[in-house]
Amino acid sequence: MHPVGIRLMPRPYVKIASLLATALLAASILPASGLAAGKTVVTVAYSPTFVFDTNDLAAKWWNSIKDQFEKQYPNAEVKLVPIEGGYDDIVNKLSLLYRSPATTPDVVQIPTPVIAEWVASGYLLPLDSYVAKTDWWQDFPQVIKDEDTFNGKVYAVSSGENDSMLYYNKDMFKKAGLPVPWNPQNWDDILTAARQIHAKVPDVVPMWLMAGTSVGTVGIEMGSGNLLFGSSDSTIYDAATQKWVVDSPGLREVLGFYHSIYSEGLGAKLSDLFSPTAHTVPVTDLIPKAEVAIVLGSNFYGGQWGKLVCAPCWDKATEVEGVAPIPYVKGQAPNVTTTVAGWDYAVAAVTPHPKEAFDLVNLMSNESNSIDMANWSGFVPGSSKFAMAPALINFGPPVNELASKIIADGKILPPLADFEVWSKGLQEATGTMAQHPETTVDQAIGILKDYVTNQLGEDKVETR
Amino acid sequence: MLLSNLLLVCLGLLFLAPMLWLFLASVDDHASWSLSLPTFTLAHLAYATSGDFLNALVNTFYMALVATVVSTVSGTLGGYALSRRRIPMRDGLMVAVLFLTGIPIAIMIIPVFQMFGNFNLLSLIPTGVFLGVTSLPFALWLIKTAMDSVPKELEEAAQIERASVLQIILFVTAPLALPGIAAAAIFSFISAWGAFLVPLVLISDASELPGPILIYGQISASQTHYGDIAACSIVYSLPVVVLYILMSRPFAGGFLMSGAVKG
Amino acid sequence: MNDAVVASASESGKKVRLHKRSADHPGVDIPGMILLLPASLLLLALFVLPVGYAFYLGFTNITLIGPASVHFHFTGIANVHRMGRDTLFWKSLWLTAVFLAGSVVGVTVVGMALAVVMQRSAAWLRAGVGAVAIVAWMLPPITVAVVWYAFTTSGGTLSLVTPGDGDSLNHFPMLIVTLANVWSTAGFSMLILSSGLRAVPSEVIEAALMEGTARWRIFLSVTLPIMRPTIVTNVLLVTLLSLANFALIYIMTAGGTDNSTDILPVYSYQQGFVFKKLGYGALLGDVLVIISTVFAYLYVRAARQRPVRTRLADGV
Repeated sequence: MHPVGIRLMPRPYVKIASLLATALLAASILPASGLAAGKTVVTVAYSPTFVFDTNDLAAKWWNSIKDQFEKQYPNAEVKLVPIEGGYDDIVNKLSLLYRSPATTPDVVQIPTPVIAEWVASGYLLPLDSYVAKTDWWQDFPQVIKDEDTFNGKVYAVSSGENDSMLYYNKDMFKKAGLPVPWNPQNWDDILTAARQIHAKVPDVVPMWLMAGTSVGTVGIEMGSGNLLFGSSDSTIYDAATQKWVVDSPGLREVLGFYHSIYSEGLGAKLSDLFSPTAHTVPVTDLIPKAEVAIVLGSNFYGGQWGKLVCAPCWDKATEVEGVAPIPYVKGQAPNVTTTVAGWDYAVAAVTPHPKEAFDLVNLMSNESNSIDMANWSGFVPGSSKFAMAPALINFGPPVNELASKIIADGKILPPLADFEVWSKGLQEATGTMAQHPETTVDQAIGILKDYVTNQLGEDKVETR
Repeated sequence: MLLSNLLLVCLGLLFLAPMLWLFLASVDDHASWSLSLPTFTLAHLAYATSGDFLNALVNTFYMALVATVVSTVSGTLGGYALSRRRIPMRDGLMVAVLFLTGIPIAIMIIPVFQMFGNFNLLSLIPTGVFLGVTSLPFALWLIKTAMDSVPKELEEAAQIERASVLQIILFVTAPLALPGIAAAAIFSFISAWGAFLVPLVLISDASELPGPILIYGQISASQTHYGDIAACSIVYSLPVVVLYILMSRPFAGGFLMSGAVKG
Repeated sequence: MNDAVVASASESGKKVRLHKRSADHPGVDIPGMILLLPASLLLLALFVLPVGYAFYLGFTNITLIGPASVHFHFTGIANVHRMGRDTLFWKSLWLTAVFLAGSVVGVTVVGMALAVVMQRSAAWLRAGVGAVAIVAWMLPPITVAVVWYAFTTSGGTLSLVTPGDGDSLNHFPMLIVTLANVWSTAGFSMLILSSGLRAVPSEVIEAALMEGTARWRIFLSVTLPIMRPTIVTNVLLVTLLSLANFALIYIMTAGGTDNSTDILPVYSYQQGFVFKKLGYGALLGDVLVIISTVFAYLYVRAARQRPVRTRLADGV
């Protein structure tokens, strides 16, 4: 008796087998890293969505760099390595890539705050001998050179900086009887303006002030950090005691400001503040739609409303929107405060071709590429010469001009690993104040103190 | 019956409600997170079916295919062994296998990243293999239980006919346990298709990124294209849904037959 | 269909050997071991080994970046001490419990509701709504996250029927995230529970009906007890699925949660990848593994239980 089902090759299996074979064959021909024989390949890692104002401009700039480089150096090739996701995801991914030489990119565009950690891990190549031979490095102001110098050596080169200022809607100010142009001399002036807007111009958000943890440390850069640097005590990390400051007169002034804004109903709505795109909501929505009167925002807004970037197009930008530097809490000198943080180019310590890698950095730092990068991402270029170039100033009037001016008064956030913890603590505090406006300054300080103490230990925090 | 019908309609609508935005925004020129009547455009769907995103979909497909092949083939061979052959400590092994189904993948990410990094395997196909291995415990269990209920007389008859073990598996047991094997294959495919954290960590080459990573990148981009996000999400989810529709009979059957249901 | 289910269920519970030992292979079953080799090697190399290594990493001071990322060392139970003092860890455990309990209850209730209501509705309606629930389950995690973010944010679909600024996501994050999880898992539960429901012998139900017992009473005191093993299986599987559901919560609320949805998988990721404390993050992951193993163990025990049906059939 013949058993059922024994045939040499049952039909369903023929189908499945041939499907599988085809699929696996096709899969094996997947785009392999096709290297043209003999060419030096320089890999460069960057963000295709977070740095530039639009994804299209990012693609345009980076593809142009690739073309320019390959034309200038026919024996070399550029391999673009885009890193998806927001700020935190980019830093995470880069941390992973650098763990093994096989995946380490030769060149990277990396955010300023984390460079110190990369240096401490031994991941970056000192660039002193290379930058000495360029014609642009000498034009970098000292504060920008310093942010990339560790233990006396230069480990990175700024590709552009962000700083912050106050934006205000001139129409709303006129309607509320506020002075135009506006020149607040201290924080009370800001609060007065916000209150007057609230009284005289209903249905708009009086002031946009970043709160909450949704965009990571960027929220400190574009928000509370600016205020803290303009307060009576701007210390975040006490280098002398090696402790993080969780209570100080400066912090209390900042949180007091937050308390005024949010308890008096002068702030923006939660879904905008806590959105993953909170860093761009003002520029893409609130300001062009005339939904907010005052914004403590970043310099990158300037170029976005112009015809080229068009994110969105707002041809009324120059007539409606004014800018003013952020003052100190009580008008103390120099009465201009801002954080300075940006993105920098760095070369890997393990790169097999340092010369070609730096050639790429050099190309990216020339005048036309720098200014394009600055205009399309909303940066102030590292070189003070380029920062005053007409091509830049006129790209986003009047923002870009002010942004270039105030860079010299800027301060840098602590480039330490645990800054992530401290910043999350402060943003938990500000987020709570936004969500529960009755939160007092003492309670907010308590949130910051508890959070950082819990994460880092009692011996790492101090009160000033 | 009327009451049941009404209740069912209500439940159905509750399930549909969140999906409403997805369909409207995908064809809306002025899409945002809000629900609104669309200004009709096909641009988003065009974006979701061409260029970078289409490439990402192809990547997702290859990754899921590799995962499915890895888990189904080794699962069928292993499931047969566990079901029919004398394996020392078999019950203990089965229990261990079941335990593995409970382990969250996130914890393995760093060690696997380091391992793959050392051997230069941080790319699409090895990631597919890893995803296949993460579905392997469940696949083993499904297939083994399915094979347990295949009557052994046919195999014995084949043995008398001098068929080799491999022939027996391929031509006798597997065809009869096909619902269970199909269920395991579909489970592996769907798991790999939806994988997010694993490809996020293991794949860096932009040309090899699968769908979810691109969609995720768009959510926190400087300029959010809500319509594109919606359209990409639909296009990306479509193959899985189609797969279910095509396989719903054997799938549901396989699930039940595998003893996942008691009672 | 019911009989086949029951038959397969009881058969796998027993350890009956139907085929005789081959006389050609006394002792070690070489073909068997060879067949098991691919699966074993893969699992050992790519599953067991990484888990073991991750366990070890939990007791080191390894960081994602910085000097300790390359040169790290064993630190004994220092991380465990830290975990004990970490108030956020305990909060995270609590949040995980809340999330699991909410998900399990939600999924089971909705799945059961679907299964029960489907029993007595029009066939086309059954197919349609069933398909919708299954599609919701099939959707990849990122799609679920995107859909529910849009649904519950200010101005989203849900805000049309909620008072205030309609921002349910930020006002009730844990509730929304749990609902999203329930929505995306209920279809799975529906499948399991409706086959369990179908396996309830109709004679028992009819007998009870003839005695004049109300339907809801029958459901509570007859149907549910018979379905107990199915329900237990369902609960345990949903727990395991929810525990692993990192992507949904991370994508939906990585945008500002105030720690209110920091269930253990998310907190572990945060410690490891945001604060770069990989060692501590790994330890938190180890805790997660232990919790999952406990539930997997319970599931294994439940899966080997004999069906209740045989006992009841005699008694009623």
